[in-house]
Amino acid sequence: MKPNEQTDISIQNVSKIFRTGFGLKKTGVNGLSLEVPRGQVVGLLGPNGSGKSTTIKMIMGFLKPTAGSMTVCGHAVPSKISRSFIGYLPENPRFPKFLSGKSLLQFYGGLLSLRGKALAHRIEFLLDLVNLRWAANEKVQGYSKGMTQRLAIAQALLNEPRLLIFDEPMSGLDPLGRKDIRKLIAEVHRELPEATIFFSSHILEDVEQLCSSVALLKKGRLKTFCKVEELLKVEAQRFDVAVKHDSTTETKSLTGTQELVTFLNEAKNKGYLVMGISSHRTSLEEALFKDETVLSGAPL
Amino acid sequence: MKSLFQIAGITVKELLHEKIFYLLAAFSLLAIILSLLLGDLTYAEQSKITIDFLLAGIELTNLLFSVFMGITLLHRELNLGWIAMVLSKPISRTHFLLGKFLGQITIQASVILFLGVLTIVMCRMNEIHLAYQALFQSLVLTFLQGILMSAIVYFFAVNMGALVSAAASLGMFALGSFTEGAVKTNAALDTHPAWKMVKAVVPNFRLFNMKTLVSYGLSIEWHLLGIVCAYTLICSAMYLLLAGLCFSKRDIFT
Repeated sequence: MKPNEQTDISIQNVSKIFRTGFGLKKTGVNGLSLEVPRGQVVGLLGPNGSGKSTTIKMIMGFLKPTAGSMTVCGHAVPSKISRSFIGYLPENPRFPKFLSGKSLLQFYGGLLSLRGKALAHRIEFLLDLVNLRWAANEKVQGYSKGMTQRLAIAQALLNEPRLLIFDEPMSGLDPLGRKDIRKLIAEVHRELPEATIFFSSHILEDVEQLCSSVALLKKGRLKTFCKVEELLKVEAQRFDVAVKHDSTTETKSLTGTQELVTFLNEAKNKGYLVMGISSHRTSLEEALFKDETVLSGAPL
Repeated sequence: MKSLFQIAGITVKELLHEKIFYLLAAFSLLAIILSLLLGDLTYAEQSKITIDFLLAGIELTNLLFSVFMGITLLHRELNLGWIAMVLSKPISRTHFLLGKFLGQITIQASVILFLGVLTIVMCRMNEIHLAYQALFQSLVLTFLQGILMSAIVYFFAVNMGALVSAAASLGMFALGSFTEGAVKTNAALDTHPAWKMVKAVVPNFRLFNMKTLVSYGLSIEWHLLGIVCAYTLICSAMYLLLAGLCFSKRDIFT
């Protein structure tokens, strides 16, 4: 198969059924089809158990799909060549504790066929990028969760990958740690502007700030895949207008600018005094889950 | 190919940081000291019994090393999720297994070499005559047994849990070591279909045992050692190939 220049991840009708023993089965992913275009930052959203991690593990070749097919950068999954395009950050990165951060990067660099000065320079650059130069020679055993996460991001960037796959990169971090990683992902996107970043999360704020597109999974199925701005446009902006008339103050909620203009004209004609206007921007959470209690895992 | 040696290198470092490695090392030292004491307790053939015990100690250490280190290495990778970082790189699962295996047998070779030297020193200190060629051949056979045993352990460990793998591997060793002797005492068993099946699947571990010969200062023909070496490599390759195939097919939950 020839590499596809336009699509970095292509998932065609993929299902994954787990055998849970005693003849019981559990569906992880159900007939999922998804095309991730090159150069985008795509967020894979969904509640726990929606199939985000299963999808990512199938892309990485850790899990075998029960049905369907996948390609990464035009190459069938699982294969060594498909993985050569990927930089991967697992949900809970863990490293051999007896090695230092730098030795680990040397080891992983070696596995990517990076050698000598090129590898040494890349490691120095990445240690600066993830702000770990000061702890480079310390054993990973002493690293905090945030430091481990940053080291894991550094190892994912070693070969300047075309596709970055991050599985819950902010999972288990405190707010400051989350902010750090978010900033780091934005820096990574600046450093590798051509690369596609595909990451799963259930923290909508992170996805809204980082992603150009979102894919929403529910019970192993794709519910939505679109650009974040399109999703936010779906619901018009809301306004609260406070007006004063006959010594009483009234607050009116309006949807969309047209409704606002009409109301303001009416208020002017009636001689009302406009005390204030506040606008409410639709958040990604509101746009995605306006009719659903998806985050709680309750049925649609 | 370089990645294979890199994984082997990291495995060597990993094993050197393992508590169980030092426990086994302590066990082997204890076995050597006990061998000397047990030899002293006997009336006759003191030196022969001491040598026999010394070599049995090395063999037992090597066996325990193959089983417990092999299982620890693989199961910890899978349980702690280290494997996700390695397999996310362009490395095949079979390469990963072979790298681990290579690292492990490198350490096993070093341990056998160390114990061999220690045996010579101990024998000299206690003025026990040793046939060096026979000792060397015996240590080579012990190492070959370690290779084959490790390959069997890897086959079970990629398919089963830690305890079941250990039991199955030790069961294979027991079958391969003692069944032949049992059959010899009962000729009718030799034609039994169950025995034929066991012979086809279970390697013959009696081939690696020349402790008695060493204690009598007797060595074996070099070409026989070559045959055992070839037998080990073929059987190990078969078990590793099966392990690789099973490992490539299984889901990895990290």
